Amino acid sequence: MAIVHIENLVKRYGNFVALDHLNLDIEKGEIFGLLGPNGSGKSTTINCILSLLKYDKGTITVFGKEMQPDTYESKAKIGIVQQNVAVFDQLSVYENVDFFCGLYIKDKKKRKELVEEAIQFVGLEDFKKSRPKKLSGGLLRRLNIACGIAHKPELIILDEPTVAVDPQSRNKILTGIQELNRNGATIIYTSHYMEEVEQICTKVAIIDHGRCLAIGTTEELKAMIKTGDTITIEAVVLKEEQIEEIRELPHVYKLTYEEQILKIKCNAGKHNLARVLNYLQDRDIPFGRVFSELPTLNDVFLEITGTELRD
Amino acid sequence: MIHLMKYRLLQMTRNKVLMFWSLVFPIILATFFNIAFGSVNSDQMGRIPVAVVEKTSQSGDTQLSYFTEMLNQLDGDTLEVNYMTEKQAKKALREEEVDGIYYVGNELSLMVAKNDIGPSILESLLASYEQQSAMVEDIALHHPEQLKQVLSGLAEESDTEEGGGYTKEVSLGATTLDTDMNFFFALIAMACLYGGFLGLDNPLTTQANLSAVGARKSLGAKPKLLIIISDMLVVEAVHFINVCVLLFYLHFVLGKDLSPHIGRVLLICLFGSLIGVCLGIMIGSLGKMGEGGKIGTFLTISMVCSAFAGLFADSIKTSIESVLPWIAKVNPAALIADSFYYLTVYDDKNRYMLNILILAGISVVFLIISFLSVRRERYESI
Repeated sequence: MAIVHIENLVKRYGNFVALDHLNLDIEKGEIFGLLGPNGSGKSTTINCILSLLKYDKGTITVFGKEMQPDTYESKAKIGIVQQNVAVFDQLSVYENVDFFCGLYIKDKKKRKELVEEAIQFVGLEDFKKSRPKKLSGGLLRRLNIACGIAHKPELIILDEPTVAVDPQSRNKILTGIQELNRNGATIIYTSHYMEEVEQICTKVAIIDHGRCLAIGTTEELKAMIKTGDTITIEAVVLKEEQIEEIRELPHVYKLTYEEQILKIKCNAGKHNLARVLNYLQDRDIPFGRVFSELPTLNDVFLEITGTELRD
Repeated sequence: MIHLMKYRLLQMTRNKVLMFWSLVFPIILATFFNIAFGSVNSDQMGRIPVAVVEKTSQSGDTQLSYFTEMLNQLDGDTLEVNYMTEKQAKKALREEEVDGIYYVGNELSLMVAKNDIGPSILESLLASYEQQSAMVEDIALHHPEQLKQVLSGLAEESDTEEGGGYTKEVSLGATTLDTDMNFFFALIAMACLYGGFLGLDNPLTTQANLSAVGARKSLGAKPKLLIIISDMLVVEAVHFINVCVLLFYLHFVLGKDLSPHIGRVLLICLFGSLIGVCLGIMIGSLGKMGEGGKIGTFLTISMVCSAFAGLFADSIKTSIESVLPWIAKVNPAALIADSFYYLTVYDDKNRYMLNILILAGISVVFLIISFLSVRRERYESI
């Protein structure tokens, strides 16, 4: 049974349809990525799951129970890390984590252990007594995470936790999420950074305009599209007829040639790179560095929606 | 609940901005009031220099002796009496060395050069004397048998006041009336209302649609009502202590004479802080206005209420009471200031209790409005 089950979810803000008959199933043990551009409906989906937002139609069950504001049994198993840092400026790092952990855990001794563990997990041991204002953006995000996970929830929802975070903290956060998952937590991770989603998510749903356009593992999603590898060859001098001949090679569906850089997009197929290189060597055409990139989630998004994810 | 209250207390007492407005600002204002009124009072309390010109006549000896006797009694206390010739007196008046000239003879008259506090008091003294003289003459003419009793009564009145004046404002309470205290009562009322700054913060940190921490608190496994109640108890307790600190400062540092009924004073402060906190909670709960907008709204309301309670001028309070009496009856600041006034001056328990009941009633109304607004746990948008 899915830990989170969303069926035909519709949410409107006036005439604007934010979620349009959204269906999702999130299984235990997954790192489930919600990928989509800003305004696609990711945060709205999360807020509906958490029963913070009213919705117009549909059903949401969490841990097999319909989610309501007073389903405290389910709430106790959920940890939330919001997009905006949600901590009190007047409380220290330790006090913040302790306060939010105390919303779930009554036992003082147990709570103390959990708080220490959470602080250690995000690497803030040296800042326990510091106030949030003394922390850098990255450390603040880590504190935000510690506040959300200290009570060891079974389901952790992270809503764009790496926005405006330095690379070092970002890596720490991403590896931390994978560790939480290894320790048994199911993760829902929303982001518009496809690289992050690709790096950590075991399953991804691509959302745009409130609809789920595709769902599957990253490999499954990439297999859905016709785009194969993208071949880039630098410092190559080609005549017009040679460009046309390359364009006619099997599986090539898009070609650009600018400033002696040849960029070829191929359909999914085997030996695309070998075929292009053979063509150049057979005609003694010299060339510089060669790159071959596999399709990304951005390619998937581009092919499904017709727009770049970053747009 | 103790966990929630402990952290709410830490969060509140460490918030320098909130503590400034709810605790420090009223103390600063009280200090300024004390400095300002202190200098006004010292001016008012100074002796009034007056020249006395005796115009002797064949039949004027009695008049002369009664009035000069009265002036001599007041000399050195309220008045600074200088016996002069008419020429010297006029010169002294021109050069503002005296505030007026009493001509004492067959008839009594007063010459003043300007309208001011000193000349007004001199006029009052003369009027008071003439009124009493007329009364004695009337009694001597129509009820001579009571003359002795009346004269001894007047003499006793004069004696008991130690020559300090012929009329005296009497407090029915245990404390002597000091008109400046009205400003301090209004200031205490304002301080009570400033609990709203603390109250405002409650919905802002509890409502998911108003802040990120509000959302995180809403997602905890604790009932929302429990969070709201524990937050409110802490805020009320903190602000009650703030108001008590102000009272302590007024009484022990500035030497202001508050009512000796300490229990009743604390009770009015408790309900006063409650209405301030509830007002803040209500404004914080209503609408999706930003924090700045809500603080602005609260500040406007609390300042208007305080002004109508006589914080800036006692005449505003009097005008509101005569022109818009219903506003005066539901203005929380006016009710708090009034309670202090009735407690200190009249020792009027009925009026005091009525004010407390009205304050409690309005607090309940504010809370109901707040509850209707925050009871939603799911929002249309966040």
